Amino acid sequence: MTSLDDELQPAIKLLGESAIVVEFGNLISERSNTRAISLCRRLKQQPFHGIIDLVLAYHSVTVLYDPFAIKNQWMLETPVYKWVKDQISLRLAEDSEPRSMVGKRHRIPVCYDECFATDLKSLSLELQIDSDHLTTMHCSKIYHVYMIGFQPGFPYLGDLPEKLHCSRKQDPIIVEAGSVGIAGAQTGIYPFKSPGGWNIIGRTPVSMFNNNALEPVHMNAGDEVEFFRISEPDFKSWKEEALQSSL
Amino acid sequence: MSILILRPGVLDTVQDFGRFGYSHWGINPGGVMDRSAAGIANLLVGNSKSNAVVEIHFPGPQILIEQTTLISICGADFTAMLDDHELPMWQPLLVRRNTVLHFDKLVSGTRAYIALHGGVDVPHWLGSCSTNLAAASGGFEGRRLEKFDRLLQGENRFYLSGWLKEGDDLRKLAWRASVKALYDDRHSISIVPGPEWDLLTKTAQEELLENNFMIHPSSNRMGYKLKGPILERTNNDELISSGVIFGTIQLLPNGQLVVLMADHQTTGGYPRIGQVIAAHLPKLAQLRPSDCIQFTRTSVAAAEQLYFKQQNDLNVLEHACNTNLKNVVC
Repeated sequence: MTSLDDELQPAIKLLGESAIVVEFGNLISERSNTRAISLCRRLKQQPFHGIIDLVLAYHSVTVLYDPFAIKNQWMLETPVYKWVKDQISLRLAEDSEPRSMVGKRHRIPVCYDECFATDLKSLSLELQIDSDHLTTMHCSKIYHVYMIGFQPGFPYLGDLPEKLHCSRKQDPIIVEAGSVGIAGAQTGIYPFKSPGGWNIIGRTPVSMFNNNALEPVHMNAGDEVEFFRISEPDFKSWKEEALQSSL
Repeated sequence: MSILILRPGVLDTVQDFGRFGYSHWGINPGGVMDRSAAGIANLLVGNSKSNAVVEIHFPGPQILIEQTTLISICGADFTAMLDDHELPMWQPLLVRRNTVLHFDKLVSGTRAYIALHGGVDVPHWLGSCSTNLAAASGGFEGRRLEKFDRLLQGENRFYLSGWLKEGDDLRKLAWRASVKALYDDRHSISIVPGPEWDLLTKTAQEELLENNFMIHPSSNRMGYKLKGPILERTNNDELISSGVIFGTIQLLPNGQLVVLMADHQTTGGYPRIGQVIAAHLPKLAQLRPSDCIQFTRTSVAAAEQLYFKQQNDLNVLEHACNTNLKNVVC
């Protein structure tokens, strides 16, 4: 019996001679994301010789491999990509009924005050929701972590309450580290000061990337995120505490 | 065992073959742009090919050699000089302490690699010595090299001072790597169709293979923007962000192309219409802004064969270098 819906049937696509992309359907959904996370986990638990990296995205896994290492390991005569495709198909077959594993729950403090929420006013006008209500809606949901990308430690979280769906900014501007933004049906947190095109509605004092830590990024795809509101003085003391503990 | 940066170049970083295995955290591999040149530079000085090297651009740095050591310079030709002597490239060079390595004139190429016997010794971060500038991590303090930075070297396996005649500052060891084939026909870059190849109209597919594309001046280690004919899509549906790698060719909304290079992001939302074959990434890495590219279509099987040939050649070179080094006498 196969419980797999047709729309999530995996498509295997070559990306040159050193990578293969596996995509589940063509929609952003927790279900397609769960399939991708599950395949990624399986490939980590049962890797084949020559895998060097796995890029997990919304509905896909990109498998990077070294074809020369694989060829030498197995003395392959046929093109290596065919062998790799077979290996991936095998693991997909074993993974036809993926369980959704419950990830970690992260509670992230956010200060939505005007000094940090640089786009809140304009967004509140655009969406015709007053600022307080808008930010209350933002922290009223538990979000799913679809993927970490764009920058080290940048989480793509969803889905936003429908009323908060909004377009990206035309021209990206420099945003501060910790900025919490929304765009489309997604919300995310900028780990670094960098150019950003999402609408900034607050800032967290929690650092999303710590290169001294054993695990420099503490969030993983499949985790859950809940935001809660803090005041500006709280934001400052939170920052100071973090500074103290890192000394 | 160390070298000292007397004057930094425009962009000098410590790189190895990249930081793989952390894409799920959005941490991209990075690493050297031209693996062939960096790998050969390492092999010539008796290192394994993926050791940490210094990647430089033009204008290059001025470097004080603080201990007698074995170096090699491969990749772009920036007219390397040791004090007043012009240095050959692609060759192991024994250089005496208190000499100054500098780069006089841009001749060809974009990035050169300085390998030191024993490798550049910087702490590993997530299994790699590569500098990730976006995350300010890895390599030398997570940043480009600056004035008076001192880079340590790994251990000497030979009594190198004994290899230099008294009074000589330089000894060119008597073998070179032949790299003509690697950079042959340097504007011709082979690609295979990417996952979204069919999103190009038939006309656009032909245009891609028939026209020249010029590398835009804003190109850097993250990507090369190309200027060429506007390529039409069969539809304008938005794509879901998915994995990208070094050499992925994306179609931007304005119909122009960008080729992702070593410091690319881990995922992208633009159509991946093609992929530069691994064997041609070194050539591509040495092209300069305003150089032209002519794309040629090949098969994945042929791309594998070319890559295997390159890797086999490197293995032969490795064996030859190690044998030669063991036989050096003063």
